[in-house]
Amino acid sequence: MWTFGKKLAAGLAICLLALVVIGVVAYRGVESLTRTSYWVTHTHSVLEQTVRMTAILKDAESGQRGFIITGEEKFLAPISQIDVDLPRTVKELRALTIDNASQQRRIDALEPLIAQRLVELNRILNIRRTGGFEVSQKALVTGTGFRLMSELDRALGDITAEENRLLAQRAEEVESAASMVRSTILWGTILCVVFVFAAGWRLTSSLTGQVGSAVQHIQSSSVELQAAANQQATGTKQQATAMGEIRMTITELLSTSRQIAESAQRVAKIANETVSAARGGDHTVQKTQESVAAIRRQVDLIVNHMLELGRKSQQIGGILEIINELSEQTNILSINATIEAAGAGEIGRRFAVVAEEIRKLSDRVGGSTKEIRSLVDDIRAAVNTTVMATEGGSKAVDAGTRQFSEVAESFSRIVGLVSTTTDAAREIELSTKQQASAVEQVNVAVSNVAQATKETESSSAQTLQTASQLAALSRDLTKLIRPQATA
Amino acid sequence: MDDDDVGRKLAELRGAFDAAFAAPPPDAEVAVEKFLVTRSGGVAYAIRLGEIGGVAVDRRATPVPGPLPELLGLTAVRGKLVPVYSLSALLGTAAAAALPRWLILGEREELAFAVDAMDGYVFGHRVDVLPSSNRSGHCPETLRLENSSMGILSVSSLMKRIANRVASTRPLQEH
Repeated sequence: MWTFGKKLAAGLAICLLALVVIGVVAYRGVESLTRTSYWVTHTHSVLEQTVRMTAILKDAESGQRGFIITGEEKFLAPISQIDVDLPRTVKELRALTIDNASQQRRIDALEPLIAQRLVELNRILNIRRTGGFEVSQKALVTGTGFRLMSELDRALGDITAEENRLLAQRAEEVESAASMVRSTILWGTILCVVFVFAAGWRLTSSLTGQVGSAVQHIQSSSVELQAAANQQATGTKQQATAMGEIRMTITELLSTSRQIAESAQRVAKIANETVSAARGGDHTVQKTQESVAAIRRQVDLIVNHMLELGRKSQQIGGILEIINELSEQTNILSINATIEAAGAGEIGRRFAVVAEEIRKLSDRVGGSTKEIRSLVDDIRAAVNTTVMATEGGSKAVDAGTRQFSEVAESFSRIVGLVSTTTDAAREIELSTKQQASAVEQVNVAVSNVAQATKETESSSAQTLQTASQLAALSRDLTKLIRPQATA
Repeated sequence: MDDDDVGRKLAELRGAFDAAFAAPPPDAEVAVEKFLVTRSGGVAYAIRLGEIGGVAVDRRATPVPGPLPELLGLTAVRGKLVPVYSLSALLGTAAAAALPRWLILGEREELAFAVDAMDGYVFGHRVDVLPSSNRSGHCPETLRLENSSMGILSVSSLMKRIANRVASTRPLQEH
């Protein structure tokens, strides 16, 4: 749907367009008239040159006749410059008709005739000067002067006729252009007037209809506005009651937020202390871990020593085997010596004593080697037990090391988590403080809203009054645009 | 065993060794016989030193076919070939098996008895040698020791029995 502004702008634009069209046509017509006037002037200049050339030729003819008749040079004064004037006139004529090929051809035909005429003129004049009147008269009668003048008149007449034809043609063009300009201005003006009247009628009827419809809408809207103002007044009272309850709730919320902020502050403080304790524990665990690593190295050293001891014990066992073998062989030798001594009777009795002692000695050595073997076995068993126990201790140390690593890692995690908890508690504290601040602002805002509600309540009555005035105003507007309808 | 025990034992050994040279020779009337104590088939036996010619150990016996299953083979002792018989098999306490470690040579080294172990030798007083209840076996006497008693093996009886068994089997084999 077009607004009034658009409609007015469209009407004015159409009028402006018509004016522009009329102006353009008139401008072009005036321009055509100006151009045609220039060419008319130009044609008159060509005619003027033609007339001038004819006059020069006529003056030459008259001067010639006067000089022949009288023989006085004064009659030749008008034609003293004819040799210069005629070529200059021809040149100017050629320049003026440079855009006309037919005139140029005619001028081309004119120039030899002028030259011949000047030669004939000078010849007759010279005859008069030398032969006298009779001779010159006879030469004049028998000469070509008359014929050349006739041809020159005819050529100049052709040029003049062509220019007169162009003059008539341009007069017609001027009349045509003037007629078109007159028609355009007349019909354009009529068309504009008709359009302005039609547009005015259309705008008036449209304005009356739309404004009337709008006024009716305003009237019905003002009635609705009255009803809405009544509802708003009721709602505003309810809103004021609700605002009071909200203020109480916000006061409680503010108190709770402050308590939360204090609790969060305590949590942050405890978390800080926990971080310090956890860092101390982490330090202790690291020192313990270093001690366990030292124990681990010592245990490895003990295991190596024990294994070396086991190897040495094995070597001792090997040596004991040799000693035992020697003891056994000694024992056998002593038994055989005893047997031999027994076979020797009384002679071998003292030898038998020595052999017996050797046997006893070998028995003792054998017993000692058995005891040493037992001891070595005990040592090897103890070494094995110690190695096994040390291996177990080593594994326990490894497990302890791993557990200490896990404990250290746990402490690190605890430190990280407690730091996170501290940050979170601080954030909670900060957020709760911000929340308390925001709640205070909300409290103030709610107070303002309550105040605004009261003001709204009072303004609702004013709105109701305004709506009534608006309804009355709409009725007045209706009377203005449709008197018959209100009547 | 601690250092005190070792020192005490060393002192005992030194004392016993010195005493052996300090004490007079044993009385012939008191120590009348010497016995070699062996063990075969789990039974301890005493053998008079006068009946044996020596003791050898860790010898290798080459198995040879023979008339008696108790024959374990032949071995070399002091440059002579000696047949080796299993004492436990001869006494019937165990079957002949691998060659035991110890060999007891006969008086003239004509044969050897293989025994499992050699426990040493003891002095037997006359009052300690008692007649055995089974006088017809190879142990006609019993040697009574301080804490135990054992049969006194008769080497000559064993050798005689072997000779008899060899002699009894030879004619049949010759046929």
